[in-house]
Amino acid sequence: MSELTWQELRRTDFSGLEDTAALWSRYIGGTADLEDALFKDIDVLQDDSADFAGATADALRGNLKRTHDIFAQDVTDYADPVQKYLQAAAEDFTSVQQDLEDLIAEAGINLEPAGGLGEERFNIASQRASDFHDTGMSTQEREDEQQRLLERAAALSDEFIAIMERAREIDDQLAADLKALDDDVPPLPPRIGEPGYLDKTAEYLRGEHEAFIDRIESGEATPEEVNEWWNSLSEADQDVFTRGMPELVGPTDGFPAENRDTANRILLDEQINSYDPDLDEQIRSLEAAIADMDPDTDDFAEAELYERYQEELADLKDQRDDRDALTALQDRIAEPYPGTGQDYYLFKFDTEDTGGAIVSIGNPDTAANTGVFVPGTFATIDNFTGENGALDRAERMAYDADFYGTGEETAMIAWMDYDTPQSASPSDEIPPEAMWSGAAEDGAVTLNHFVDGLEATHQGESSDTTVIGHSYGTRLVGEAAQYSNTNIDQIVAVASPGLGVDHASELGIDEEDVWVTTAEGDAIKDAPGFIHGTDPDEQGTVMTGFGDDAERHDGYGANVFESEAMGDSGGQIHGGYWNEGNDARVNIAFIVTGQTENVELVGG
Amino acid sequence: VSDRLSIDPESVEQASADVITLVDELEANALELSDGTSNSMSGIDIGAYSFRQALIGAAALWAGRATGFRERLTDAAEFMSTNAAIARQLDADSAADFVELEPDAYLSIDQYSRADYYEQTGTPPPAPSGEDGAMSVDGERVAV
Repeated sequence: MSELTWQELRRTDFSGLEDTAALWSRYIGGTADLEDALFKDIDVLQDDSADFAGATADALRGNLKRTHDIFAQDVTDYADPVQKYLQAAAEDFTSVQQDLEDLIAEAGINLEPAGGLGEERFNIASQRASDFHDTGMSTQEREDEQQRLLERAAALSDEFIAIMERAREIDDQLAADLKALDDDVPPLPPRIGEPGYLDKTAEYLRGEHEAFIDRIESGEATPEEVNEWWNSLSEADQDVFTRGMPELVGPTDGFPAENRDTANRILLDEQINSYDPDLDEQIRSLEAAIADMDPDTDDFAEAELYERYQEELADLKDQRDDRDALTALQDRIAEPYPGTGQDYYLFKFDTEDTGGAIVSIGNPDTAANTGVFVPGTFATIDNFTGENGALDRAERMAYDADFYGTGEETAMIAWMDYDTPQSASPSDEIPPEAMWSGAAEDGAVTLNHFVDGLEATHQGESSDTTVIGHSYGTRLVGEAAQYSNTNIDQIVAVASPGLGVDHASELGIDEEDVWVTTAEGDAIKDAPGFIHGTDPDEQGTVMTGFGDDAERHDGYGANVFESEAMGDSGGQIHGGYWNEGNDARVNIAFIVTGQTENVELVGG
Repeated sequence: VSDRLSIDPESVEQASADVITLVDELEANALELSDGTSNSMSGIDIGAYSFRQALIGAAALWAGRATGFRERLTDAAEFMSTNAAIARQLDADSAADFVELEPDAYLSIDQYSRADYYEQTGTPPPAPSGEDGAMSVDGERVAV
């Protein structure tokens, strides 16, 4: 609290306060040209400088821009207020000081200021003018004058107190305003050259964007919002997020393919390196130890140990499988796909449960056409890169789209980001997982989210997105296509057990954009129609709805295209659609590249 | 964006020097502000007005932020100098030409440390300052 006295107020020269305010004003003015001095006058710091170019040069310029922007904000947040507060206080103090002087002048020589803090008052001067002159006043008149002076002193004392209260308020308010500047001052960004610069900068930026990043991590932010936020960042900050927070950028729909790829390759490398280098040796040792044990022993302790070793071995083997699958993935995408020369883009990977991965051949953000391949039952991270695995089939379709295409680029994506069923045969002891639609329903939400991300990040005109499902994957694709707001443009169902609807008109896309094929003899034909909906290549009468809403259709309503039965059994035929020479491949290429007039239709 | 660094050592060295010149100007301005504030306020009794102590705090806060800003500009200038020096060493004829450095030939912003600057440019590191030998990291607060 201010303890300003009236004596101090009277003697203070407030021009010093005004001079200080003017000093700050000049200083602030001097910072106004800083941005030009850095980024216009210094050629090398201009974005397009050829004298200093590349990712590192961009990062340096980004750092300087960020640093400058923070300084400019600091000027607004801290220096400007200091100047304004001082200027206003100088005027207020001068004003209140003048009020006090006016009051003292008004009091005249017969009243004099006195009193301490909060007790300011006017006293009758001990030696008044009348004391020196014979005024001819009577005693009564003298007493009356004394009374008048006392009353006047009392009235002016009230004003005196009010003026000093105001002066102390000005002092306190200025002190409070200046002190408040120090509240919640944000940290300055990390310095170039300090250890852990990238991680610290990423953490710093995370703090700056905490609210939105929380929305991303909670799944609240849509891919479109994620992309909008991303585009609001400088390239340098995008780079920091990509390399410094790969766990945010890598798996999130709405971040551009290039950045997700960079982030996921960092994460992939980290995970592969996280496995114990002695893993194989540990497995060998444990296997040897188990081989020397008697599994049928009556010794309780040995039996318990045997069981524990078996569990440890299973766990180690799981780790080895994951490591090997990820290493195979890393090796596979290290160089461009030789079939088309397109780069691979890693959108996601994980090893939880059956594991999953999303890999694109070609950049979907710039490609004119995008295909998304959804594999079916038994797909896992372990077989993702293997022969006839999801990536293998996507590569073949990428090759076909390039070979049969119109010259525009097609990006082909192997999308395995759902809990794929791991049993399909009706002869299994328990009902096969492929009978249930839960995985497809959950996966459809994830797939639509992913496709929304592709739509959000695509540069220029919207890409034509075709989602191709195989077997149970078609059930998921059909589920995704039932959403009225889906960004899927057309679907291809290969060897489908059903799309989850009884007629193509029940999907959220036009019937003419629904393409299906099932080869003669495919084992999928054995799947009963009541499980996943009407067989999509049904050519006969199809009924939809009930009661008054019942409707009769002439066929399923999809385009049924030709494919060859390749294989000696229903199972082989089911897996033979991407074999060399199968017409299905050519037809899929025509569909994906927008040459649907060339597709060979059944009976067409 | 290429992972390679294209660099004209002359231009980058000059840019580094220009940034340091700016830093010097900023420092001079800050000093003028600090000294000027001290002098101007000398007629206002620090014991009589409670805002005087608060103004010292606010000025110190500003001094810290401004120092931190200058330090970061200096860091950037030194980083440029360091890579310019590396480019010069790799290409003795680079005076008029660009030097293209592969990723493993230059120092990226996250690989770089202050020691690299001293090593590559031959600049002697400053002697430790302060009683404990610590050096300022985020700028020290300067009373006005």
